Amino acid sequence: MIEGLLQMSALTSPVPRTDQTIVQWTATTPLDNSSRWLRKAQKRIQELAALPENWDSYGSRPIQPAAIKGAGDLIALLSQLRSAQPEIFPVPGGGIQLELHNRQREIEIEILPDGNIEYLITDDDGQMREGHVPAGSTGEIYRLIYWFGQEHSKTVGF
Amino acid sequence: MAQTLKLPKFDNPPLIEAALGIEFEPLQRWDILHFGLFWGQIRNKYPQYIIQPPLDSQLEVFGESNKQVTMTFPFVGPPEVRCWFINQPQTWLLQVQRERVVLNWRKTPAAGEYPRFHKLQTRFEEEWLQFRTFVKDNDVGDLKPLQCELSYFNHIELPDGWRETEILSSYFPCWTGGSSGSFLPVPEIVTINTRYTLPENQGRLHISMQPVFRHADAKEVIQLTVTARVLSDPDIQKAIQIAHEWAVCGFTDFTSSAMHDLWGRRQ
Repeated sequence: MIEGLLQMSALTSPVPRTDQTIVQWTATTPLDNSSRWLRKAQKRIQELAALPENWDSYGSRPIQPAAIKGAGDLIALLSQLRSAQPEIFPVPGGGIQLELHNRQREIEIEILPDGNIEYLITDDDGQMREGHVPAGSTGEIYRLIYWFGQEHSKTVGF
Repeated sequence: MAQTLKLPKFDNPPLIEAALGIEFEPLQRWDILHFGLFWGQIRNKYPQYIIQPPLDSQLEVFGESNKQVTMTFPFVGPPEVRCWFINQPQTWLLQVQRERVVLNWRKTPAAGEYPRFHKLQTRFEEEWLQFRTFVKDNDVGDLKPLQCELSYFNHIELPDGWRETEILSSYFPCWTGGSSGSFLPVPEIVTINTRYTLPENQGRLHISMQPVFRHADAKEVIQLTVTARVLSDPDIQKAIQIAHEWAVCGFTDFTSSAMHDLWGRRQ
């Protein structure tokens, strides 16, 4: 079922409109408008960025710059899209993982050390699907988040 | 303004990003496939792309309504998008959509300091020429510029107690923080939005001061955004020049002499 929805989503899922339709490139959020979780999440990513060599005691290298940037961009995107708060974890090898859960669905997004993204989604029926997104290609990420926010709706699902 | 106007210069301005662009009449035959075709021509300079929601129209309107309006162009068809094309050090960004081309420069550790307006303008004119050629060669529509827009984004680091009236006033003379009584405490958040009409309704200058949360380093800073929009003259270069003059002079007037000293004002 997910396969069919995936194909459909490529045709029907719009790129969601956000408040960030401005020419500015540098990501910021007005203080009077920034959610507490956004600030907390960005600080969490900064903490992960400071992890030293062998932070997991199994010889992992530090979290890599491309993963830090990718995670920061993704957090900003989630905030723009009024998403739920993600949980954020370091991944041995230098990546970062974000996890989103709601009553029906789950998404695990791993930003790899080179900035590419791998994800695992679990849909309403418990079916799972993995995917890969090249660094910087946010279209599929938009659809993932859009799908996650559309509870009970399968017609525009991922 | 006279063309010989000598603009203020700063050795160390708080500039973190600049954007120069042109808004034009929507290209009638622009299709989503043209993003890819155009990218094929610039991919060597901009190897990365990101799909974004489109920018709203920001045409300055004068006359009966005398207010800024956001225009939309509803039609049945594929969703409108904007495409970001980014260079390898991630210092230059070219934004393209059906009715807009914008070139951004941003400060990064690799980029160093602002390369100055002349370089931004020169690079924009190169990209604009390439886009015009692409539009013509692919018969996408008639390219009719409507407005030029120049934005400067400045970040000012916040000292302790920055919400205190004296500190904000020392940055921005227009803010006095005054009240008629003694009931109100120090504001939790102060934002300032102003706009100014250019002579003969050539366009407007918008200045906003807003405390923001910067994602890259999770810092709270004051963002001072200065945007000059100049309705298109047949001579686009002239419109860009006017926008530049107003953005620089507006920034200088809006901020205090003490800050100018801090930023190394030379003239």
